[in-house]
This record gives sequence, structure tokens and C-alpha cells, in this order.
Amino acid sequence: MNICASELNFTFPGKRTSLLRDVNFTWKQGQVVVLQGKNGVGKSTLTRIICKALPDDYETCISGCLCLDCVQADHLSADQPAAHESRDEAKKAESARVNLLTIGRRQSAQYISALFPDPDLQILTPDTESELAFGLEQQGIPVNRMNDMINEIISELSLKPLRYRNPRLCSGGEKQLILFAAILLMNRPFLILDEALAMIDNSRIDKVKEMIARHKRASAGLLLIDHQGRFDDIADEVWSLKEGHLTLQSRCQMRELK
Amino acid sequence: MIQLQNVTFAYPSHIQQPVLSHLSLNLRLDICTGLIGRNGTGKTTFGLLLMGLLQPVDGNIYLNGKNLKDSPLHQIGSQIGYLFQNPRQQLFADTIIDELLFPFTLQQTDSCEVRKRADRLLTLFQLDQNRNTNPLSLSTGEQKRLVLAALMMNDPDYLILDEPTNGLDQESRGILGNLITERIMMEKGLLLISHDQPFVNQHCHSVLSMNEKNVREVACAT
Amino acid sequence: MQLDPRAKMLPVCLMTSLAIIRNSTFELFVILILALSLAFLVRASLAKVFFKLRHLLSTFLGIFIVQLIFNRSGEALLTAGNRVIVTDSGLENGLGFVLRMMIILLCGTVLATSSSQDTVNSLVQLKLPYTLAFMVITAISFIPLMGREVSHTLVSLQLRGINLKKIPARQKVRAFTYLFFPVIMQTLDKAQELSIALDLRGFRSGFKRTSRIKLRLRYTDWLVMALSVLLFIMALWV
Repeated sequence: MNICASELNFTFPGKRTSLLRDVNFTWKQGQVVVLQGKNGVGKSTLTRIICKALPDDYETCISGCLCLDCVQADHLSADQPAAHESRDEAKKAESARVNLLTIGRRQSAQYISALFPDPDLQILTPDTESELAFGLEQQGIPVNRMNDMINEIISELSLKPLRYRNPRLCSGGEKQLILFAAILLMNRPFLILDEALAMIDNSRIDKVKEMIARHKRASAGLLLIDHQGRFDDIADEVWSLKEGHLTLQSRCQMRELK
Repeated sequence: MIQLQNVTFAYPSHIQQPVLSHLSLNLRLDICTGLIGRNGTGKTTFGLLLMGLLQPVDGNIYLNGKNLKDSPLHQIGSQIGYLFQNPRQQLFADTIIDELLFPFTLQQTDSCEVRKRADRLLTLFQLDQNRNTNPLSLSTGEQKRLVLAALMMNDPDYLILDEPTNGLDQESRGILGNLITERIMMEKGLLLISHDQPFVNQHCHSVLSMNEKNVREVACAT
Repeated sequence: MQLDPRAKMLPVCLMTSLAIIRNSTFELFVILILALSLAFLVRASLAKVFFKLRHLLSTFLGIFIVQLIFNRSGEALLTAGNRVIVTDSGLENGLGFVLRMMIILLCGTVLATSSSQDTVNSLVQLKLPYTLAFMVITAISFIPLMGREVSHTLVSLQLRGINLKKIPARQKVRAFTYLFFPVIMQTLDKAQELSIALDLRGFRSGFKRTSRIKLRLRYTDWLVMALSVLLFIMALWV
């Protein structure tokens, strides 16, 4: 699965200059992307467009194309012999393409999940255990398996002291850690972490990185924003946003530059 | 100078596990002090104590020789500026320029000199291009800069910055760094609560490390 | 004692409906005693709640006095010369109002002793739709949040160096806008972000929801419920 954007534009209502201009990218599953850019350049807006987390009245400000390809295009053309490449196949490929700009947030959340910088606005329940269980319960995961998953992630991120505490009363970094655990458990193919790990201290960031890498190997796509540059070393691609334009660099290119 | 004398603090719900116990230390006004520590050890709690927003269970805190317990909030606020983790909690006005001026217009202490200071601060924090925009439509980094500018309007003796680099890009970090150096030159102190080790190492003259049991000084760069 | 939320809801429902049906001061007083004993049973922190609601309580007192003075029907209890000051029906109405309000307050405190998560689960187990139960409980928990927002904003305003007591009268109205503008904006903001966060965490995604916690009624729960039904029937009988 890929998320592709072409000619994506965004202008805030009542502003003359566009925030995002002709943004093109392909974000593949199993790829860690780090999005860089200065304050106020539109990084958060871009991530919010992708996961449809903008307020509803901004829908009309977006133009261009943002799609989710369920079938890889090059996979189709390479593996299918030419004879089989009938119109049906093309149609199938077409139907497997979901336009992310037209579907609702609830639908797109089946593929893309996200965490934003302020943990206070994203905590939903009054104890850590229920917070971790929330997404799993919605997906209808059987209770036994759910408990196993929760226990595993609690021991992995050493959340045990927080297990029965109210996340709203924890410190900033702890809140972010709990939300990170909760969103990882949901296991969506695409995950956006917009400054969502910024307050986590250095003693735990290695563990967090390891889990991100494992998540990636389980073929999930991750998009990270981090001003401290703590995730640059695990990035496959670095996108930088400047004056509304997005430039892409793959990791190999970055190495060559160095 | 902020003096802590034998300060003990515990949250009522966890009275058995004090965040601070019998802590005595002085925060000097001529240096930048860093406060580091793992998540959940009580760094923010420490900051709130210094602002008089939490009261110690035992012991006293003195600000320029005056006990914090006896000072009303607005007095502490004009002497110590506190930047919260979430800048949105500190934005009140509907334009950038009004955000800096409204405390003065409300108390009718508005003057030409105040307006000049506001102009200077907006330039310093690079917010002077669109001074009539709504602060809530700014990005997090810009909001933090705006709150800092607003705090500087009172010309406080001390600044407490809670995770200031969080959400700031390199350029904004530079601006913040300049502010710190400028303040130190004016002999006005800062407390930097952060886990951003490189930033703390770069700017702090003295670093306090906090863990579950106590606070201790770890390093003193010259 | 830990009671199942359902074992709290039943007596609370019965008591509040009785408090509305019944009129006599004596009966209301008995219901108040029952509500109080239930509150003690579930170890509600009454002192805290009543301290928080002290302004509301003084409003009750005010209404009580108004009832007492302005209700002119019934027989005179207290007279000054030829003027009747307090009548028996005024006293009864006033007392009735205060007692009913106290019963409702106590019932609310009893319900608040369960965590919101447990309450949602128990409502779901009572076959209420999950989305509805969750949203109602979340909406209720939003109210104290707003109060906290106001006090936070007040504190941060003062930390800007503003002495709220010394603001000239002409500026008072403007000062209020600086207090309420951020509170309203932030509450709206929070509601919006919360709904986004809910969707992103798969709320109402169409799967059949499983529930990690299965509440079970214990003997004490059954006992409390049986007792309250028994008392209710007896009260109707009398």
C-alpha cells in the first residue's frame, strides 16, 4: 500500500498565499519518513491533511489529489504478463485506489492513525490500562489477546508504575509514552507522529526507536516530525518543507551528500 | 535570588512519596540554571513551587528575601516569568500586539515607553510582520515566542522555561539562545527545565539533576 | 465499600423518583437519611463535594428564605403584630425544596464515586449503545474540565502581573473578555481535538466492540439493590 499525493495545494481561508504548493510524494508501507521544516511552514497542516484531522470547514481549502493505492502499480505491470493485462485488471487497480480526500475520517482512520503534539487533547480514558485498550476494544479484538498485547507493551516500555494511574495526572513525557503505546497497539498500516514524542526523555528514546523500527519491519509506514533530529538515523527518507514546496531525499542521497 | 530552605513537597494523593524532601538550594540571578531529569520525576512540579502555584508541605521559598507564601500571584508573576509547556494556556488576546499590551491597558499603565518596548520585543522575537494576526492561528513555535515576548514585557528578574525547545526549530532555538545570553549579561537569571541535553549543555552554567529522591547539582561549566 | 455502578444507579433512580412523588417533609427527610447512608456506604467524599458546591448551597438557603417569606398560604407560624411573617406551608415548601436538592446532590455524589470507565461499561452492560454511553459520560466529564480551565486562565492572567483587584471599574468588562475568550476558545478547541482523536483511535469504526472489563454483580450489590426495591415498594404502599 502507498499513499500518494500529487499537486496537493492548501490555502488557509482568507489568505492569499498558499501554505502548501504542488506537493508531490509517495509514502510507502515499510518506510520511515522524517518531515523537516521550520516553524509555521505547514508541516502539521500537511500531516493533518493526510490523516484528515483538519477541522471540517477546511476541506474546501485543499485541492489536488491524495490517494491510497491498495495495489502497487509497478507490482502489477512487472508481474502480470501482457496478455492478462486486460481492461478488467486496470479496472481492479482503479477500484483499489481510494481517494483520501473524499472519504470520511472514520474510514481513513482504518488505514492511517496519528498522534499530535499536545497529549492532553488526546487522552480519552481515566486510567492507563483502559487508554491502551481503547483502540483494541473498538476493533473488536478478543479480550484474551487484548490483555496479552497490553501486558507485552507495558513491560516493553516499562509503563508498569503508570498502569493504574490517571494519564491526565502524569507528566508530559509519560502522557506521550502512554499515547505512543496506545497507538502502536492499534497496528494501522500508516502512522503519523507529529512531535508526539518530543517530551520523552533520552533514557527511553532508544526503546521507542527500536519499537518504531520493529513496526516498520512489520510493513508499517511511519511519518515523524521531530525538531531535535532524534529520528534522523532511522529514517529511510527525509522530506523537507520550505515555502510550501516539499523536497524529497532518500537516505542513500543523504549519505552521498555527506 | 530565589532561596529554597528545607523544602518538602508531596502531592496529597501520594503523600508517602515526596517529590522533594528537605531541599535547600539557591538559584542565582546571574546564571542560567538547567534542570534535567527523567519523565515523571517532578521537574514541572519544581517550577510550579517556585511560582507559588503549589505550596510546599514543609519549608519555605524566598524570592528576593520575601517569603512566597506572603506574595500575591500578580506580584510573583511580575518578578518571575513562567513559560508553560503548552503556550496556549497563556494566550489571551485576539491579536499579537494586544497580547503584549493588554495587561498595561487593563491597568491603565499604558504609555509610549510600553509601546516602544512591545515593538522592540516583537522585532527581537521575529513576530513583527503580522502583528494583527490571531495568536491562536500561529504555529506552536511562534506561540512560544509570543508568550516569551509577553513575559518579557514585565521585565522579570527571573524566567522559568518549562521544556522551551519543545516544538522549536533550529532558528527559534537560536532566538531563544540569544535571549538567554542577553539576559545573563543583564544579570537576570533563568531556570531551564528540559531534557534536551545539547541545548542545556550549551546554555546552562549550572545543571541540577532531578531523580525520584532528590535534586543535586551535576555539573558546573565555566 | 466498592459497589457496582449498577448497584448505585438503581437506588439512586428510586430515591430521586420518590423525592419527586412524595411531598411531606417527614418523608423527604427519611429519603435524605437513606441517601446519606448510601453515600457513606460507598465512601463518597462528602466534605470535599460540599466545600466545592458551597456557593450552590448558599443559593439553596436563599431560595429557602424566599419561600419562607413570600409564601402567604396556610396558617401563620410567626407573626409580628398583625403581620404574618412565616406560614406553615411556606416552611413546608421551603424545607421540601432544600431537602429535594440535597437528595439530588447526594445521589450525584454517589454516582460520581465510580470511575467514568466503569460507568460506561455498566451502561453498556445494561444494553445501552456504547457510543451513546461513552459520549454522555465524556460530556459530563467536560463540565469540571471547563471549571478547571477558568481557574487556570485566572492564574495565568495574574502571572502576567495583573492585579485583578486593582483593575479600574471601566476596564472590568474588558478584563472579563480576556478571561472568557481563551476559556471558550480552548473548550471548543478541546472538543474538536477530542473528536478527532476519538476517530483516529477507531471510535465508531463499525466493528463489534469487545469490552476488556466485564463487571460482575456481587452479593453486596444484589443486597443493596434488593433492599432499595423493597424500601421503594414499601414507600409506595404507605
